[in-house]
Amino acid sequence: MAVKVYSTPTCPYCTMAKKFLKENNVTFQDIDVSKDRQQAMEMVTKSGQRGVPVIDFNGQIIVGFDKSRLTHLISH
Amino acid sequence: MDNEAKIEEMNAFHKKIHENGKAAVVLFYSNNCPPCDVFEPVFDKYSMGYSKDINFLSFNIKDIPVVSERLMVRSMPTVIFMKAGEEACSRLSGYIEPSDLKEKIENVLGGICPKESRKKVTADVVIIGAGPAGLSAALYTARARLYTIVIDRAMPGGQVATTFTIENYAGTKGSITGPELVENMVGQVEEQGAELVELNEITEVDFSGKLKHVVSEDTDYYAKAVIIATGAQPRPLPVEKEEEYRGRGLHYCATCDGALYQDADIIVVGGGNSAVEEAVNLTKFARKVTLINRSDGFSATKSGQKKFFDNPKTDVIWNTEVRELKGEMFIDRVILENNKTGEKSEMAVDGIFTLIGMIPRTELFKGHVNIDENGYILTNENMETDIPGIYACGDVRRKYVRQIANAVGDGAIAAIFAEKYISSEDE
Repeated sequence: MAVKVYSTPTCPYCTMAKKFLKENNVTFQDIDVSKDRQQAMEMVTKSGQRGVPVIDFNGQIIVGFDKSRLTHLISH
Repeated sequence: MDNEAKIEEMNAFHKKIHENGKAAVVLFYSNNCPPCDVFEPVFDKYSMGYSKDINFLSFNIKDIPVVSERLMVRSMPTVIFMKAGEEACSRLSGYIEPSDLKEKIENVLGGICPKESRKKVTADVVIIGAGPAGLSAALYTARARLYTIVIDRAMPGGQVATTFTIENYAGTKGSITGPELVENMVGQVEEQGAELVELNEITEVDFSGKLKHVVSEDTDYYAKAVIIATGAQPRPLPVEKEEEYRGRGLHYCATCDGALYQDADIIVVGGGNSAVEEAVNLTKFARKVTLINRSDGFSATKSGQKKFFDNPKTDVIWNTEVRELKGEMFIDRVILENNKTGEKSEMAVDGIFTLIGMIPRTELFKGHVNIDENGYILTNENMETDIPGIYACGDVRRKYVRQIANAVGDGAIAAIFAEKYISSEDE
């Protein structure tokens, strides 16, 4: 399983999403898009938008902190 | 604690609760917990009556931190029912009714445990919203030794959590970042024993009974008093395709998404404190920040304006409103209209941050408390709504000034009157 979280350090919804994943024992790669431009571009390409957080959950792209969608993906 | 010690604590716990193969009623409690003190004699009484059939055990959570964490024991006290190593029935927590405990024990023993996935928690005070108003209220009620639960749909902090810096709140060393202020407030509130529940959306309320009922996605909360501190959310930009372009160039949280606009040309819509301050903050990333203001002056403070005008990367267009958003996948230009001359113009932009005020989050309370035509809750100066035992504080109330300073003040007042109400009702 590969999970990537594209985030910025100042975004509370990003913190929330990361906390939620940790609580559910999901290991993920945390990408700070304010520091890494190439990854920021990757995030924009993948999600078609520029808002954070974006979560790449095994190739499924989730924009924003969508708890119910994440719960669904974690349990399946 | 190393892994082995963790496993050892879990194993010891399981061994202990199922000694002699019986099912178990397990009580988790903590120090400084008023409902725990109330519940202890009840637990002891039932343990005498039922101990032949079921094991009764109680633990201070500080002695079994690993187990408490694994079982996600958050409210104090919590009673968990265990059968053959698995949790059975649903748990009880907060102020637990003796009759509820009896019913659950009977159900576990009878093997007829209705599958309830919902939890039930009874508290003294439930506070809805964990922004400055809600947290300040919690600080006061918790210090009054009232069992307080603060519930937030997202993370604590409300609008403060997404503010870069705050320079107009007393008691900081000149300025403080939003997240830092939130962290301080949360720490203080938890230290006093209030319980914070994050990421829990309230779906329904019923204020008609003596015990108020607050329904969240997974829990039924009951409380003697409820403090509404749900705050406000950003007012959407009044243009067509607003929703379509959200995140695709149109943003409401500069703190969150500003970093995605490195070297970009962006506009900020608004003219108040938030707009002017965030415009300056966005210059950390953007090449140029143009403020679009619908009148010919800012309503922001003088010091905020000075920072704005002193910054070489900022600019302003007066008497102008955004009429249209354009662009394939992302916004790449906007149509502006001068509201004095009616003249329209096109401007190339990479992104728009809209900071044109807030609208109250009161949808849930319509028909339950008095709300004005703009959606704000009506209270008197004691933060009392028209329903006894229900209070509102912070940005959600009708008032003229909406600052962190008076949100915190509102919260303190609401808490003090909630405390008075509870003690008079308890008599």
